[in-house]
Amino acid sequence: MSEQAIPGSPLSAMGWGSESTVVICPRCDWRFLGKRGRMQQNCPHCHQGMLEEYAGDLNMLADFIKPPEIYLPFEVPVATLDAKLQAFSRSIPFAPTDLNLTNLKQRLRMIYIPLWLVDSDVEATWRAECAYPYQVKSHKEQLVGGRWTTQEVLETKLGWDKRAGSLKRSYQNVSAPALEAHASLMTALGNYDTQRAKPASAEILFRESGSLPAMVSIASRDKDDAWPDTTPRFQELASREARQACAAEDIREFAWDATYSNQNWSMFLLPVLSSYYLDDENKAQIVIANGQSGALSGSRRASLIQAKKAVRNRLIAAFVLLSIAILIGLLSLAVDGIGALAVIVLFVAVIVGLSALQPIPAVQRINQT
Amino acid sequence: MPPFPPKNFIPVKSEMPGFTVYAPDPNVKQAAIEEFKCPQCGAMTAYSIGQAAISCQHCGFVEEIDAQVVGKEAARNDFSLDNLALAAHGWGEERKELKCLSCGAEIAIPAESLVASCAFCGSNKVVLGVASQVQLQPKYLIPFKVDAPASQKIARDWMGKSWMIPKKLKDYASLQPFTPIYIPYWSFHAKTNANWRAEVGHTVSERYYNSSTKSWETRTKTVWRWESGNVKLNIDNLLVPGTERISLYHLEKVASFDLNGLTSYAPGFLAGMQAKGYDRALEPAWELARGKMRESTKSACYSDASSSQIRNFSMKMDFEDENWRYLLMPVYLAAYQYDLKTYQAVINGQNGAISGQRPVDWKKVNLVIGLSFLPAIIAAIIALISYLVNGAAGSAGAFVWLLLLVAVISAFVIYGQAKKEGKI
Repeated sequence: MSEQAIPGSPLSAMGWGSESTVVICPRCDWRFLGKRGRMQQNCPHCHQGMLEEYAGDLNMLADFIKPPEIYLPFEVPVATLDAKLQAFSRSIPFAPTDLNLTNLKQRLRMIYIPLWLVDSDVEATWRAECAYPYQVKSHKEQLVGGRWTTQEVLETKLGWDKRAGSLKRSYQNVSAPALEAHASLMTALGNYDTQRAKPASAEILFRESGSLPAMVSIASRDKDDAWPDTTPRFQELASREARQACAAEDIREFAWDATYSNQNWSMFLLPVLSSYYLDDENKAQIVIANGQSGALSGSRRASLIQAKKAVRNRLIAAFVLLSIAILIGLLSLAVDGIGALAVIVLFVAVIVGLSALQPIPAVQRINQT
Repeated sequence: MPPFPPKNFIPVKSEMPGFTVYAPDPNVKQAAIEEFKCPQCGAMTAYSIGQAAISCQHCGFVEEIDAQVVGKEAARNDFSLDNLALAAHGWGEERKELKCLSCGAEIAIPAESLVASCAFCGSNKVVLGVASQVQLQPKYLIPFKVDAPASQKIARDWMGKSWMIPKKLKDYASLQPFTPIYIPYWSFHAKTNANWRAEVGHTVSERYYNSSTKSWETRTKTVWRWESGNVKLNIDNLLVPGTERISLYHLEKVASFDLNGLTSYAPGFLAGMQAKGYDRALEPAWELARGKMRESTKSACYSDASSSQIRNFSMKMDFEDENWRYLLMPVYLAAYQYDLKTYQAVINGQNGAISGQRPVDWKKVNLVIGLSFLPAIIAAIIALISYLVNGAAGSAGAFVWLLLLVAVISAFVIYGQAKKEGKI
């Protein structure tokens, strides 16, 4: 990977400073922004390809790279992360030898994954049904001594009433996925507390703290792709404000006809920790963690080699136990009272022998899921 | 997107900068009059029961009515304080004077009438309510199924059924046309939840020693014990007539309407008919309905007890999910005079059920009552002769008492029926 300073790089114009550069993994095609000269060698996404400097025209990436606006810092405590990695490695029976806490920690890489943030002015007309409290009259009746007494009761209910209106508002920081894999990543990583977001800049994001600085994954969806995902969010914001405008308790059936203008796109970066272990075929199996909460998820691969070793060991143990049982059995012809011991040892040998049937199907089951 | 702001919406206060808010205008004036004229020949059109459409009797033009059968799914209203306040006012003063769109004549419309016909040009008009009563404008009705000739036959058969009515009235009935009219009904729904407590009696047999007869005998006695329970009823579509001008007794007797036939309101159904707005307001009607619901729930509580012998019964009940509908129901009405007295009869315009007052020929009734005593009198004479001849009446005496008893019972039944014929 050759790294040279490029004066007046388009990245500066895109809000990423003069020390940033773009690299690409030839294996998974993920592109990253990183600090020139202080970057990891292998891909922090697939961990199998060696990163190469992006050879194409950076200006062509203008729709994929926008200035960082806010980010969530890496906050997960080391002890928490260690515990989760340890629990993960122990949760896989017949795990590959490569899967252990030391390896996972050593290979841990920091990445920021992007979300689009859009600011836009919106003009719209809207219709909705709003809920307002109203009182209804009900009754309680009592029959005592053949005489009815009636008591009126007032109850409060919510009633729906039609409303319409127009709006002219400016909405800030409406988010939309910037990666094709966003949904699956979020499923794996769990929720982020976006209230803890901080203003971002290239300097802050690429700051070193004892290890190599984090890399920033570049969007794989351009803003035109992402735009349709933002409109429901704009509508949701407008619906919420329409409820306030109508002083209603609730709102439903919100429909609008909106026009957008003055859009401004920027990035919201979420922290992810990525590591891997090697399976039987020396293929990297990815383990990722939420850089804020520590929620961890990864590919669970058991080792057939370990399973076979376990089968072999159990069969040997069963054979040894069987031999002892036979020996005790023969001795019992001469010595009274040890016949029962032979039977017990034989029973244990059978159990151990049968247990040898378990590892390989167990591994197959884990690897299938 | 439909036009903005929507029709009949007015600006209201917005609590959020950058937002304008519009709400339905509570004072919107709905079309006051809808007139029915034939587009082919200009003659007036009216609803034809046989064709279930608007038709022109002059040129035969037929126009379908755009309305949906909604059945029991018809929307309901709850007892909001607003609804109750609106319903308390009844039908409006604002509709008393209307100008005929056809000839320009001023027409005076009875306050509770929904339909008018111009006396000058004869055009049929359906008059809707005013805005403040949107909730209380009819939204559903059951169209007429029984046509005028059928109603005449029903009336004739009904008149002919009773031997008590004067003979000349049977001929009179066929001459008197029944008027088709849509009558307002309130339909109520509620869930009742009742907790009851009562002493419930159980009859048990016991052996006891009778000291007077010096023997063991069996006797029955009632053992009372306290019971309690909970009963929930879902009472749906309880109909209460929305008018006090027609006998409640007779309207309730013909109220066997099949609500699966409920149809969304369209003015066309009323064209050429008569229709009445309510004069029994929502609250009084609801009070009547609640009374019935109370009694139904009480009966259900009685049924819930382990025996039919009940005393010291008390119950507490709550109404839940109470709601109502305002409906127009088809009936034929006839008010006829006989012997200087006015009698009413009502026919259900959907299924032909009939109820009404019939004048009673008391001479005929008294004669029949008198005749019912004749066998007893004859038997008494025979018994008397037998006594004089043989010195003893024997079984004839007992027979006389039996016939007398039958005669008295028959007289009471006949008299009761005769009184019922004229019940209002």
